[in-house]
Amino acid sequence: MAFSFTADEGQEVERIRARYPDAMSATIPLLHLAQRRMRWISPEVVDEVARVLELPRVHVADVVSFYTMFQRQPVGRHLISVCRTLSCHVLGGREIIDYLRQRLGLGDAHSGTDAAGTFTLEQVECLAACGSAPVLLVDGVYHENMSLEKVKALLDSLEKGASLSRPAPGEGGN
Amino acid sequence: MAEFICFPALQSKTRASLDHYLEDGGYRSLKQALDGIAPADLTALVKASGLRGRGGAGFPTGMKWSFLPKQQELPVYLVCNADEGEPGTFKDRDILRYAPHQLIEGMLLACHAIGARVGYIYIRGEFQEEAACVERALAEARGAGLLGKDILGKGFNADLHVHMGAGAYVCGEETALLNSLEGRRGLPRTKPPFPAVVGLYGCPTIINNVETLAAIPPIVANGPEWYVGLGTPKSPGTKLFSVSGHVKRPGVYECRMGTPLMDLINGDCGGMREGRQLKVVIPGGSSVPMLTAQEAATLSLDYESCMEHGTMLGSGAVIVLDDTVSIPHLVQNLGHFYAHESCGQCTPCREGTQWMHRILDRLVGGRGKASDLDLLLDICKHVSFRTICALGDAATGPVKSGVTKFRSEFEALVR
Ligand SMILES: Cc1cc2nc3c(=O)[nH]c(=O)nc-3n(C[C@H](O)[C@H](O)[C@H](O)COP(=O)(O)O)c2cc1C
Ligand code: SF4
Ligand code: FES
Repeated sequence: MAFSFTADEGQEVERIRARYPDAMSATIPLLHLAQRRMRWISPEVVDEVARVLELPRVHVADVVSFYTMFQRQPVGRHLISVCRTLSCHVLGGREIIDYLRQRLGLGDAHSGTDAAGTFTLEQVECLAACGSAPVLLVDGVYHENMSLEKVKALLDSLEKGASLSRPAPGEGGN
Repeated sequence: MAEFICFPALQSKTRASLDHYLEDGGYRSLKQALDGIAPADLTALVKASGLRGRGGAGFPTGMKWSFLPKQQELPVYLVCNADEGEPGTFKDRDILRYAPHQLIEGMLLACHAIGARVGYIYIRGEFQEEAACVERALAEARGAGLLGKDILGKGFNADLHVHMGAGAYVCGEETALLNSLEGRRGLPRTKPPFPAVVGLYGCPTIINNVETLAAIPPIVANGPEWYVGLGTPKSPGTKLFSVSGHVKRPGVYECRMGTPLMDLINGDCGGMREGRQLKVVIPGGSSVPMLTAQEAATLSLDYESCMEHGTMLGSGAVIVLDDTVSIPHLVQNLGHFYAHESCGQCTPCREGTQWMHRILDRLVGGRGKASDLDLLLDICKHVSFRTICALGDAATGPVKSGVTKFRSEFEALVR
């Protein structure tokens, strides 16, 4: 599927570029901008970012492959990123991961998408919210002080099509 | 006990609007500095305060600033490290959320001292809400003539920009961060040259942690002697501690340097969970050697006490674990982390972290050999101090201390 930035995004592209003396610095911000709408970085997104910044395509592809937040495959309707690092792990994070793997029917796989394409699970390293462990992100939004029960309820409501309310800046988590 | 002296907003956890910050005396230090503290004097003031880097290494901040070349043509950059990737650390997040203006004021003071006209705040990619708080504060400051051209009408120009990372622990390492900010893969660079000489876009660059920069406004407002008086002779001031794990009240606490660790754990944090005993403390983030409960009992929260106990204050991430935790399991969890996060540039780190991870997996999975314990320690020896950045060395911290201090738990796995 072809990809190009919309007119609105084009203005954002200009604002981003103006922040740096060197266009290459805009690589990661533009990839974020594209992923916000497309939810993953397709080869066409790589083409477009390279074209806009007049950089070799291989440079952009190389950057994409280095950073874990860039999804290199399409993701389900909701992306669930669960912290697997120590403080979360010892406070119930491990059980949450086991539960999600089972619920999504992932078998032995650590991560992946369920058959219906509703949820993609990924395991991530420390999210810098260890004081409210266990922690996970749903579509990039922090959910803290989680428990198995809360995770079940959260997925149930998402499955029914509930939309997540984003906390206002400064009010996220606690 | 914790006292929120330099970071009052972290106690109230209120949303920090510009008006609130101004009411509490915000931006007074900046005004004071632009009115009559010459850049060299401001650097000297920070030096006299004894402020040390809060990102992990504890390098004296004023001294770092004075490494900038005295005479040169290139622009100087300031970079704020808000990557907050060290497992256990979550204090910078609270500064970004609750005290963004204090960070901005600290960065403007730093810009004045080092002669920078542009600064970047490198925020880890997951911190979308936190970045929005900072962006909003930047817009407020710009609107009030506190950012951009002719700040406060004093002819001082400086602009600050947010730059989001995209998920890679190694990008918290300062030279990897610079590569990432330039739009490349986040590979650490060999040092020297140090960033103060050759940094962002090849220009002299100062990189400081969020907490380091945000500590500067209260230091300027109250004077370096005041700051020195808050701590111990070798560790002046206060520090933020991110406490997580099996305590009743985890969270971010500001303590005077030299506060006994157990005061923090049993006082502010309410002690261990009901019916449980303290087993192990990792006092400075996942990379530093762990302490047994007995060792932890005599530790005070300052650089020198940590050194005497064979560990480090690091980023001030105190991970407290009780007797439900198996040490091999803990070490395996962190072994996975470092294997996953090694950038792969140096053979000892790439191979060493992979092998340690594999060996720990087989030990915990009951497929280990008695010789694996010494093999782990041997690998640590071959990784430590043989790599481009400190990640390789960091990876050995939990393995070495875990296998040495809790050897019987590992031996029980191979019996
Ligand atoms: C692997 C690695 C990861 C690091 N991660 C961070 C980080 O997330 N945040 C941070 O401030 N410093 C981090 N550091 C330390 C930085 O390299 C650097 O020392 C620090 O930003 C300097 O600022 P300071 O002097 O104010 O502490 C890391 C270092 C290493 C080796
Ligand atoms: S020590 Fe590890 S993370 Fe650091 S540069 Fe070498 S391979 Fe990369
Ligand atoms: S360990 Fe999960 S957020 Fe830090």
